[in-house]
Amino acid sequence: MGITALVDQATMDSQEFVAVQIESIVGGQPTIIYSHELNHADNPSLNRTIEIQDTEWNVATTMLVGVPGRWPDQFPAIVSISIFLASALVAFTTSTIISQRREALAQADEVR
Amino acid sequence: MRLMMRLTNWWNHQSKVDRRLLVGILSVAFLISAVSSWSIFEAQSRERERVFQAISSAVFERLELTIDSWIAQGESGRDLIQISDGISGQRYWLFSQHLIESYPVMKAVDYMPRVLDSDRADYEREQSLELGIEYSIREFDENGNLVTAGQRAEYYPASDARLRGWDIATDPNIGQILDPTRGHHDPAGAIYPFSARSR
Repeated sequence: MGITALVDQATMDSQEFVAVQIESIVGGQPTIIYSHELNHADNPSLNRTIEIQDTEWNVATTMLVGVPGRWPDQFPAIVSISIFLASALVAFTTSTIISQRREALAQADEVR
Repeated sequence: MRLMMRLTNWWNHQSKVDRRLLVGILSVAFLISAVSSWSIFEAQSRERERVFQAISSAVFERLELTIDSWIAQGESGRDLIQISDGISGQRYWLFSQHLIESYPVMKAVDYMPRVLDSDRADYEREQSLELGIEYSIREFDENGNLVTAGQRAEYYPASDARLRGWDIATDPNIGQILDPTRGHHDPAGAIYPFSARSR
C-alpha cells in the first residue's frame, strides 16, 4: 500500500498505455518517490504539478507502445505495400498495352 | 532466378520509349504509395497522441482527487484535535484506524503532539503510566535503531505503536514540512508521501 496503490488506482485501466513517475519536492529537494521501469525515454510525455500543502509533486506520464491508434499498428505498412503493388500492376499493364498497340500499328504499316 | 531472367529478357525487348514510360509510371506509383503511407502514419501518430493526452488527463485527475481526499482526511484529524479539548493518543489512534480502513492507500494516520523540552520529562512520565511501558522520546541512530533522543528545543513524538516515541522532526524531509506549523499553537494536519526509501 502507499504510493504504489495510489498509482495503481489512478492507472487501473491504462497500465499498458502510460508509465508514471512521481517526484516529490520537499524544501526544494526533488526525490523520486515512484517510477515505472522506463525503457521509452524518447516517447512523448506530459507533466503536471500537484500541490500537497507545503509539498509539491511533479507527476510525469510517458506514452507506452500499447496506446491504441485509429487503426491496427500494421495498417500503414499493409496499405503502403498494397498501394505500391496496385500502382506497379497498373504501370506494367499500361506499359504492356501501349507497347502491344504500338507493335500492332507497326505491323499494320508493314502489311500496307 | 528464373523470374529475374524473364524480367531482364522482357526489359531488353522493350523499346527506349516504353522503358521511359514504365520507369515514369513506376516512379509515380512509388510516390503515391510513399505519400499515402506517410499520411496514414501521421494520422495514426496524431490519434495515439490524442489518446495518450486523454489517458494522462484521467490519470492526473484521479491522482489529484485521491490526494485531495487525503488532505481532507488529514484536516479532519486536525479538526478533531481542535474541537476536542485534550484528546489522548489512544483515542486518536482509534480515529486513525477508521481512516486507514476506509482509505487503504493511507499508510498511517498519526497524532504527534508538540512537546517542548521543558515538558519532556512530564510527557514521558505520563506516557509511561498510560501505556504501561518504559516510554521515551526517541530518534534513529546511525545503525537505524530507535534510541533515546538527544536534547532539542521541541519534539514531535509519533504515537503509532510501530514507531512509538520517534521524534518525526529528526527526519530531514518531514522536519521541513513541520516548519510552517512551528510559528503558532494551532494543531496542523500534514500529508507526507512515504516512498520505499523512507523509513
